[in-house]
Amino acid sequence: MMSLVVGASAGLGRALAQELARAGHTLFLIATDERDLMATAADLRIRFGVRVAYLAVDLAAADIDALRGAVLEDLGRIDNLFLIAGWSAHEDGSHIPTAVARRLLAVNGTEGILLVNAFLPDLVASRGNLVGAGSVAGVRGRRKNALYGAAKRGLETWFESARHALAQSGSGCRVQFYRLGYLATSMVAGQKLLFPPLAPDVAARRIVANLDRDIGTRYLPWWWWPIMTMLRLLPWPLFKRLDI
Amino acid sequence: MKRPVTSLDRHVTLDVELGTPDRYREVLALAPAGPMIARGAGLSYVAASFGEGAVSVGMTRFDRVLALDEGARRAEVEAGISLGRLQEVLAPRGLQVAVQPGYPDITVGGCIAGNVHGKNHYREGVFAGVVESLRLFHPVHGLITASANENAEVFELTIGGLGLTGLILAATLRLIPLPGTVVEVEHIPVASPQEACAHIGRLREECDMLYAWLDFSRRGARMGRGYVVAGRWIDESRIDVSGAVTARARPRALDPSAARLRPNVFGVAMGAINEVYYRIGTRRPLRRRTPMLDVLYPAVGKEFYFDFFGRRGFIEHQSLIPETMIGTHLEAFRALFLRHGQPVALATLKAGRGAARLLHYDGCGYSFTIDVAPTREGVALLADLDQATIRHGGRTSIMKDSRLPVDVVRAEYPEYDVFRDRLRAYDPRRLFRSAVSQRLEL
Repeated sequence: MMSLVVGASAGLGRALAQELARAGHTLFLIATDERDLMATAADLRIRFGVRVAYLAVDLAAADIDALRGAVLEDLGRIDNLFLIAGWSAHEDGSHIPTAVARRLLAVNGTEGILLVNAFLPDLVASRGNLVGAGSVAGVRGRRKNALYGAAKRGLETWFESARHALAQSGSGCRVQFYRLGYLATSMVAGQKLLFPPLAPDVAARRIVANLDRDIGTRYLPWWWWPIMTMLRLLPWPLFKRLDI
Repeated sequence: MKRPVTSLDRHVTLDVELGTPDRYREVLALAPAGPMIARGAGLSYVAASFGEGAVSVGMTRFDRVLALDEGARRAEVEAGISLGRLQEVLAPRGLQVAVQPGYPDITVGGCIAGNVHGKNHYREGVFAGVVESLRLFHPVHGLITASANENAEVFELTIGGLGLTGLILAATLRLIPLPGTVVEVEHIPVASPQEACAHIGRLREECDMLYAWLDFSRRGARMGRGYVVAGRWIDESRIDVSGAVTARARPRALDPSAARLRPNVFGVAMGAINEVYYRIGTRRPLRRRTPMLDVLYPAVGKEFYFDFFGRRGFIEHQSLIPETMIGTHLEAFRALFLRHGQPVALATLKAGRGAARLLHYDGCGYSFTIDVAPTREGVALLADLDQATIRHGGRTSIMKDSRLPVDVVRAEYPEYDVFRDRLRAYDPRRLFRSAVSQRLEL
């Protein structure tokens, strides 16, 4: 299996790369920092004996077509695409500097959509899996994480559209999208969390176990479903008072 | 957000800021704003990975194998990798790290900073002998590559340097062949520590690992009895050890800061527990084939031991006594034990061989270790034992004893001032600090 992981420097992306290597996949890793990629690639080659290539590129400023060319030149074909990249900013609220806002929208939404869009024909050709990482922050708009949530919601909508289109065309591709709760990564480090964070390697194992299943959009871990359903249905007079 | 962190011996608890970076840019962006200290698995008996006012930088996400040269028997690893995880990579290739302390979750960075030893100190020496080079980050000095040939001063200060020279990011380790994955373990019952010493002295040349367990939980005729554990690698077909050590949940007893009920079991049953342990250890047959991991990491599955002391915890005291003085020292210990009436939960003896330098727990002689509750009598016993150790030319492990006063360290380590002065010359602001370095005025 040829798998591309976008956002593999740390957290879920890196854990996923490890689980895929354990399952024997040939890997292509993309992230912003070469130092992290080099270390992860070396580790996976030594521990699992798989072939791992990588490319350090900032998704927010990437030449998508050139990137696709580099990936296909190395892998030949692509069976699984994991769009895991995410970026959050502490100042993300109702009004933040334009440069930060643009980056939040690009990394968590628009550039991810453009990247997957470019690879869609390749996934159709291989009848592969398209897996996206969203967030519980995209379920209902609130004061905090406004742009992060908006971008992830946009990404989710695009994945839904892709699933619909691929189902109607009888392509045989599976599209999976995870609304992730807190993960124990540096993104949540030092923050006071309402619920316990999930270890990235546990999340990665679930995602790999779900490959080839037509499951659509899922909460991960599942217990965010009742929490977020309640939050979504909470009447506005109550919701507007919540400090979240 | 500060949170309470407790040392493994439950003796020191402090509210500290704890970061867990998972990318290089997060580590390399650390500014020299205030005191900090690296934290690995947090399994030091003493508070070596946290301190008053210092930010603890968790390194366990940096746990990758960066290079492995099987022919040259050399591996480059990130310092947050645990010994167990490394073992999973090395064992199937017939390789191992020669020096290993007794628990698989301990990180390579912790082994370097503590310059640890294993059950083969008399044969393979201390961890310093395993480290070929290392990469270190200090917010003022930046990234430093250090080895015996490059930045030799920093290299020397960092090994056994208690993490005070910076964050150890990676290390290149020398490896040795792993003869097999089974060890023939022989238990030899002994009536006294002196008899244990004689056996260890006799078996040193022929055994791959060697130590003695002794019962000092009660006075009386059985006081000081125990058994010597002698291990020899058996050369036979390799079994698969993948996932054997690291694929298990971390026992709660290793996270002493977590609030939960901890009755003082040893307060009422120490004698009985030692009796059972002695009987299990001396049951026949005395020679058994034992899986390698059970021999390397004997504390796995017995972590509850640390909880048996109750909320107040314990103090582990380990001192390395020159060969010619060990008999006198054990006699002195026996007298002190009888005088203070303080039961000892665990006593062990090991042999060591090496050169005593800087703050290294190294030298030729015998390591004598005891675990006691931090009661008034317990602390008085240790204070008297300190004086005996000084008299007998020994040195007490800084990585074990949370109580060890700076005056004792000064008296036992002739190069204490050398280490302190060199550290200050290297880092006049002394950015890296822990509760241990503060207690020892480093």
